[in-house]
Amino acid sequence: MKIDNKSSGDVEIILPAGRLDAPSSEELQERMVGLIDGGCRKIVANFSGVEYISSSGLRVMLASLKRLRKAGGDLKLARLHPYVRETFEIAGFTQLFEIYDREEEAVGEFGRQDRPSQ
Amino acid sequence: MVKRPPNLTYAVDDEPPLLTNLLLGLQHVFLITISLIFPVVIVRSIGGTPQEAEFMVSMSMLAAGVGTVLHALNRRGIGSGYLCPSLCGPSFLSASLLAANVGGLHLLFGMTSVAGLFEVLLSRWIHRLRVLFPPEVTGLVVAMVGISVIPTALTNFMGRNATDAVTEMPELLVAFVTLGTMVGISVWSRGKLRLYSVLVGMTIGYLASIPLGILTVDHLALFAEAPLAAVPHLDYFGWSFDVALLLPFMIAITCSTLKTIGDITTCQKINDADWRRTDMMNVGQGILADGLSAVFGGLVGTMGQSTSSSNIGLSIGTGATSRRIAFAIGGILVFLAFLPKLAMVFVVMPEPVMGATLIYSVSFMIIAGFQIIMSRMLDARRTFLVGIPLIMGLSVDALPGLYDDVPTILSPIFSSSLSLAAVLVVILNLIFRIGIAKRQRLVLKPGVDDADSIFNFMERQGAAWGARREVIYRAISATNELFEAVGPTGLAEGDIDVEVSFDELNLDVVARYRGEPPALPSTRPAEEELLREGPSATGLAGFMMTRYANSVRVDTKDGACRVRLHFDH
Repeated sequence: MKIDNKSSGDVEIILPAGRLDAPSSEELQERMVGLIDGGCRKIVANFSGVEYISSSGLRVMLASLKRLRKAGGDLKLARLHPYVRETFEIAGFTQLFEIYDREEEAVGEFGRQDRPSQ
Repeated sequence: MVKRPPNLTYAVDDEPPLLTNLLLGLQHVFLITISLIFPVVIVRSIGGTPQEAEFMVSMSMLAAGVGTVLHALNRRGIGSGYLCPSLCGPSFLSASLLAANVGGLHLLFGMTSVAGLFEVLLSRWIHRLRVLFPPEVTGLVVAMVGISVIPTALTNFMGRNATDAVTEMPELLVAFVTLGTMVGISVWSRGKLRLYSVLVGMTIGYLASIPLGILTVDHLALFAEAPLAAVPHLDYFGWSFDVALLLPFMIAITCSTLKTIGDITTCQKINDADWRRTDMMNVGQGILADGLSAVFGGLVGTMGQSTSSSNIGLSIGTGATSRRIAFAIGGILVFLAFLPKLAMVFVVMPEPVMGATLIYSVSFMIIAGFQIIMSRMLDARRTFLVGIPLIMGLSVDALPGLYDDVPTILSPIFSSSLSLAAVLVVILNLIFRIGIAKRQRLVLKPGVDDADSIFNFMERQGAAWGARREVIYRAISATNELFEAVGPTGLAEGDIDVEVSFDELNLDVVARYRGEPPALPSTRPAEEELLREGPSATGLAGFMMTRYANSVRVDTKDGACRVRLHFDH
């Protein structure tokens, strides 16, 4: 599995690519733990390159979400392939995560939440 | 259970208001009358009189009307129940010309009835031949049904015919205005105007043809001279038979049957958003209606009748597939058969209007065919199965004269791109079935294999079997969840032996290993449970397995575990 990441302001964008099964989920978990331990609190996972996710991958995403929210941050998802979105739906994870069609929307949502309400 | 497609204004069981129904029926009649050129060609080929041609055209309308109603019936095993209009079948042209030239029109009528009887018999057991018609075969036939009309469509669109090889600017103008109107209404109009896109386009085409000199006073004279009402002259009726002509007519009816299978498949697909495969029982009923139409056609004095792909394309384009429209079409055609003056309105249809209408309808048929083909996974074997007949079929129109030297008896096959492609794809399908195992094994080694191993194996098998992509994907997902639930966790003490079997309706994955069975919770484990490590955290995998598969069965015996995952296909 190939995992790239980039920044947009204080939002870290992670771009896994390939099939997210048990072995590759361990790689993703290491990367997520590294980002969170490094102080990153706003993460967007751009799933446009992920063609499959197993329950192991789902659990890694859930663990990351829980850790971030506990620390006052959040993990948002963007650009899920139809099959991957269906997997999230089957597992009931679409109620746990905020999912966006575009990466910019997910990043922008962090900015919107940061702005004080008028 | 049939799911209504959202793009249909009037689906198959809907009842359009009477006036709407009549207008929609009239629109179809315009398209059907284009095929009336075939009886005229046959009569002219034997030097027949205009009265003979007129008789055969009238009887063709009568047969088409009765055939259209038979197809829509769906009663006592007759008719598929769809709007699947009938007309003079192009598949019969070659054999019909042969019969007319050998023994006159009476031989043509007699042989047409015999061919129809053969189709009636065929309809009784065609449902047992499902193996011959997987989606890639029916899809190609549907696409070729559309492609085979292209030469006629384009020749007319350019305003040309057998005696006119020049395209004039007014003809092009009428063609583009007609097609532009039809397409424009289909794409950009709102509300119910889309229902009448072809009728509006044709009307504008007719009107534009008058000032541009395409419809002339000669045409108007034909209209004026035609009697208001007429009954067929009894002298023209008569039937004779010739054993030597049996083979060409059997070939013609076989080609026509293949086309009908493609047409009814399209009807099934456009009326069910969840369409998966051809319902061959329903096709059998349609073939019976087709055969009875041919028998009737021969008895009343015309050529063989067949389903009309262009009209099915029209019903897709307008979003109106109600079977009630078929009854309106039938009524109008029977009415016109005895009213020559009214029928003349259709007979004088300008070529560019005809061509534009065919292009509009055929577009939908070709795309519907490719959609059916692509609904399944294709490997090299299936690529050749579709590609070779497609290329050979196209060669008939692309390289005129290429098959001039084939024996006369086989000319019905080689004279049409549709017939050649359809016969070839059926034969190749049988040949390519050799060597496809219905059962395959995969051994998964925990710590060595991963999801890629399962993907590679299942995708290769799915393509070899021509399975539906989404079912294969669910099988991959479930098998991988099983592997992750029992492999890394140590529930399986060694390798996992996976056997996958397939037939058109079922996909089964059976995994055998020594060890403990996986947990299969009926509800998703709580979030806290999901975050635990080790074997206790495999509940989500087990839960996902039960969601991907239609059924999961687990049994253990003497330390051996068997997990059976079943998927409906």
